[in-house]
Order: sequence, then C-alpha cells, then structure tokens
Amino acid sequence: MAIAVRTESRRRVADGCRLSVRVLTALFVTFAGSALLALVAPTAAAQEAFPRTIDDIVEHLRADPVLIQPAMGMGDTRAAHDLLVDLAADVDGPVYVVLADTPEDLAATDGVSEQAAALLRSELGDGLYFVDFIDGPRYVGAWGPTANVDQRVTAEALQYVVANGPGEYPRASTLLEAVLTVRAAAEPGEPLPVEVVDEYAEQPWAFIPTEHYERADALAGRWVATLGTGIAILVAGSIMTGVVHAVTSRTTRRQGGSGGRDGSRTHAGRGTGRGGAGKTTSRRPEADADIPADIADVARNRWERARRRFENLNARELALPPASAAEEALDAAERVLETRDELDAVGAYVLSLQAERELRRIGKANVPRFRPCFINPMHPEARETVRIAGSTIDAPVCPQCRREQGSFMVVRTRWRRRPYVETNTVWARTGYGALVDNLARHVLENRR
Amino acid sequence: MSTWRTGMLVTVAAAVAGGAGAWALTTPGVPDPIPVGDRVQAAVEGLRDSHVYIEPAVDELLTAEERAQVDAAAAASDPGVYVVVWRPSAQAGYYLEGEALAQIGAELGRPGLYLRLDANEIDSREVGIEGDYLSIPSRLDGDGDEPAASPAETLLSVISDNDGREYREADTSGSDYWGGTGGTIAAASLLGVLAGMGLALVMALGWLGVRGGGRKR
Repeated sequence: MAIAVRTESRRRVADGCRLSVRVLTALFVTFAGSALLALVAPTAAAQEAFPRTIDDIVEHLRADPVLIQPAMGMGDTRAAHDLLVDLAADVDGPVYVVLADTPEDLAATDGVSEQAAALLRSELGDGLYFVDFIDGPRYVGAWGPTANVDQRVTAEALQYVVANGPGEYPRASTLLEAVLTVRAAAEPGEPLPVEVVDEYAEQPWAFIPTEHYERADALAGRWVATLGTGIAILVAGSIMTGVVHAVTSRTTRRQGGSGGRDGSRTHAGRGTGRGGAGKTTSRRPEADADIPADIADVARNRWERARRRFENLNARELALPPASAAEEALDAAERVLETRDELDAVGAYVLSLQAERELRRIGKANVPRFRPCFINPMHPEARETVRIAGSTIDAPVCPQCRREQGSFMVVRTRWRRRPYVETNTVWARTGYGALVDNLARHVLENRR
Repeated sequence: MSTWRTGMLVTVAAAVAGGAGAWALTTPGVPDPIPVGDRVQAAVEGLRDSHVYIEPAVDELLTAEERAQVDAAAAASDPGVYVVVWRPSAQAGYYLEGEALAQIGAELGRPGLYLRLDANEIDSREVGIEGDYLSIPSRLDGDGDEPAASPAETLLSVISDNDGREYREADTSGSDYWGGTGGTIAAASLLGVLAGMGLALVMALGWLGVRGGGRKR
C-alpha cells in the first residue's frame, strides 16, 4: 500500500515536471516567435507597402486587389484603399486597382501602365484593371465578366466634374477617376447618378490641390481689399468733410452778403465782408428765418382773395394802370403757385400782396406800392432803406430789421439750409421785388 | 454737433462697414487650406530624429554610408538642411514638390533649407528663413554641358554651399504677389489713398452739382 502511494506520488511529481517543461517551452516558443516576427514584420510591411516589381505587385494583388501607395493616394491612402475595396465588392467580376510607384522592371519602357496591365492579367486572369503609376499615363482595361464596362460613362462623369470643379483650371485626380470607373462598373450600361458624382467630387481627394500661394495670395488680397476699402472711405470721407466744412463756413460768412451770386444782376454787387463800407445795423439771430411750413396754403388764400377783388372791378377801374399792374401780379403769382417750391410759394404770396396793394391804389395815387423786406419777404412791408450788414447794399427792410437785422430767409434743400439770396433764382436776383420796381414782369419773363 | 465731428463719425462708420463688406465679398474666393497628407506626414515623422527621410520605394538612391554622410552634413549646416528623397508626384495630396516641402517644414516647425530629390531632379524651399541666394541645380542628370552627378554628391555640394550663408528667420508663408505683410499693408494703403482721393473727387463734384442744381430754378 505504501509502495503504491509512493508510486502515485512520483507519478504526480513527474506529471507536474512535464507540465512545467511544456509551459516553459510554450512560453519560450511564443517569445522567440514574437521576437522573430517583430524583427521581420517591418521589413515585410515595408515591402508590401512598396512593391518594386511586377511580381511584387502580382503578389500583392493576389492578397489584396487594391494597391495604392502614398505617392498616389491623394493624402489619405488608407481611406482611398478602403473606398475602392468597398466599391469593387459591388462589381460582378474581379477588379484590380494599382496606383503606385513605377515598377523597376518596367521603368524604361513606354506605356508602362498598359504593359503592366497586360502582365497582371496574364498572372491574375480577366477582370477590370485600373493601373496608373507616377510616370503615367493611366490605363483601364476590362476583360471577361467586366468586359461590358463602358468607359464613356466615366469620361462623361469626369467631364461634368471638371466643368464644375473648383478654381480656374480644376484637375481631377487619378484616384477620383479610379473611383468613378469602379463605381460605374457596378452598374454597366447605366450612367452614374449626378448626386453620386457630386458627392465624390466634393471629397478632398477629388482634385489636384491648388498652389499654396493661391491661398496665401487670396488671404493677402482679402486684407488688401478690406484695408484698402476702409482707407479709401476714410480718405474720401475726410476730404468730403473738409470740403463740406469749408463750403459751409464760407456760406455762413456770406450770409447777409451780396444779395445773390451774381452781383451785377442784383444791382448790388459783391459784399465786402464783415466791416464793409457804410453804416450798418446789428444782426438778429436766425429765429424767424425759416419759410412757414404752410406757405403754399397761405399764398393760395392770399392769391384767391386778391383775385376775387380784382374780378369785382368795374370796367372803368379795369382801365386804370393799377388794375393792369394788379392783373400782371396775379398772373405772375398764378404762374408760380403750383410748382410746390417753397421759394415760388413765397413769391406767389408777395405777388398777391402786391396785387392787393395795386387794387387799393385804384383812385388813390398817394398809396405807395408794396415793397417787401429784403431780409425776409415774409416780414412786414419795408419802410426804410438801410445798408445791409456786411455788405455795400442799400435795400428796403421792415421796421424790425431796420432796428436789428436778422438772417436772410432760408430755404431747405436736400443737403442743407441756405439763404434765399444764395440761390440762383429770380427771387434772389430781385429780392422778391425789394430790389426791382416790377417783380411781376421779371417773374413772367423768367417763367415764359 | 459740428460738421467735422459729424463728418468724421460718419466716415469712420462707413469705413468699418465698407471694410467688413469687402472682407465678406472676398472671403468666398479664398481656397481652403490644403490638408497635410500621409506622404507628407510620413516625411515629417522621419525627419523628427534625422535630417534625411527616404521613401522606401527609392531607398536605393543613397547607400547607408551616403545617408549617414548627408545626415551629418545637414545637421551641422547653418542654416539647417532637411532632405526628403522620393519621386515627384501630382497625386499625393499637394500641388508641387515645393508645396510638400513647405508643408513638411511647417509641420516640423524647424526653419531651414528643405530639399527634395530623386535620381533626376531636385527641389528646394526655404521655410521660416530668408537667406542669401543659393545656387541649386534643378537636375542631376547632366543638364546641358554639366556632367551628371550622384544624388549624394549633389546633396553634399548643396549643403556645403548652404553652410555659413547669411540668413534671417522670417515668415515665408505669406504672399509673394503682395510682398508679405509689409507689402500687403503698403499696397492697401496706396490703393486706399488713391481710390479715396478719386472717390472724394467724384463725391465732391456730385455734391456740388446737386447743390448747384438746387439753386437753378
């Protein structure tokens, strides 16, 4: 019994030793194998990534029908490879794609891609071959089950892509052509759907990139356009501000000046500026210089009232000179009443006042003619003639302006307000009748 | 508010608006940046610990001894030299080989002279530096009367000529057309001033015309 126990014990020890040896052996083999693989694998991977000869390419294609090297991968060789493998899976027949460096054994030959395709076919059999090397040109051949692939489909798609490509001279990549070729082979005889072509054309690998300097130039050009536009507007705005300021300042200095741009026509001549010759009165602020907003209605009411009074004259009264003067003033006022111009409306108002005065003068020779205030014809009637401030003009003014001259009546234009005497109008030339004896005749001649 | 203050406020506002408008109008014409592709990235990784990167497809162009020689010379050169050995390709995700060198230099972040060569041609690009003129042959296969030279001989010759030349670090990623940052600002200023004067003339004549026209009744 004791012997049997010892024997069993020895057997267990022996089994344990054998197991240990096996485990150690397995570990050693695993370690040694791994080390050997680690030494060999990079070289093998490198050779696989860079087949140098047609035989290398054949061996690669037997294991993987798509060979793309970084020199032909448009920046993402792995993605290009996977895409073509997926597309090739849908084709009814073998598909081989080679985008690689030129094989050493074919480097000195012409038509290297076509020759390579023929050699590959002799080794691998019929199928669709898309072959292109760095030295080009690419070759597409189809035999056997893929013989009915119509390359015109790819050509038409490429034509469409290039026509709608980015930049001035878009160039489709060989990778895009390979993708379109294999995609078209999946459905022989059918045109490629536009949306599919567009999707491929939008990928970053679809076109040969533009020169880096195009982007640099475009970025710099954007700055030139932005800064140039800003500077141009700054310069133009500064100059315009200066011009407006200078013109405005000059006009302000001339307010109360010559009584019109053309001194000869105003019978007054140019102003002499501040401190000019002759006795002058002080100036009032521009409180009442604006033309009343309802001047058109005021003028029309005044004209209608004068017209009614004129129409009530009898035949004897109509034959008198004041009646003729009134009629002429009413005609002139009517002529300018409907122009919707502020200065014309003031003129119609003044002419209506003159007409009324002429009607009053019928049979009363001692009644003076109506003469408006030169400073502002909307003021009360002029009573005296005084030297206009800052000028050499003597002109009739109302009593208030006699005591303290205000600003000339101003007219609003699109850009600014300015004295009516600064405008090139019959009103400025005549001072609304303050500077001439027969305003109506001047107006009728002006508006013939 | 005075004429001056109003005018200048309007002017500044219009200038800002105009500049923003010009920026918006020209932005669609700016191409997207070219992404760094795997070929370039492989070269970048290869040059992190060496001054020479050789693509496996052309590793026969330099022997191990020649590679060590070139690497040592390039590392000792001032300005520094970085060499990429591969065959030129238009299908690798960049425009031309010079563009690939610019991308490699930018990714690597080391200013210097970047060279690309194969058995036939050599390309160069200064990245991050502007140096005195350096004569670099464009071909290795005996252009004209010149004898053919081996890649190693050519590289060592170029590196020797490069070593010791005057240079300064500079941003070489700008536009040559507009003359870099300074040229861009100068061009914008010149064009802006000239255009502004012309615009001011037109505006002044128009304004005075409208103003004068308002007087003629």
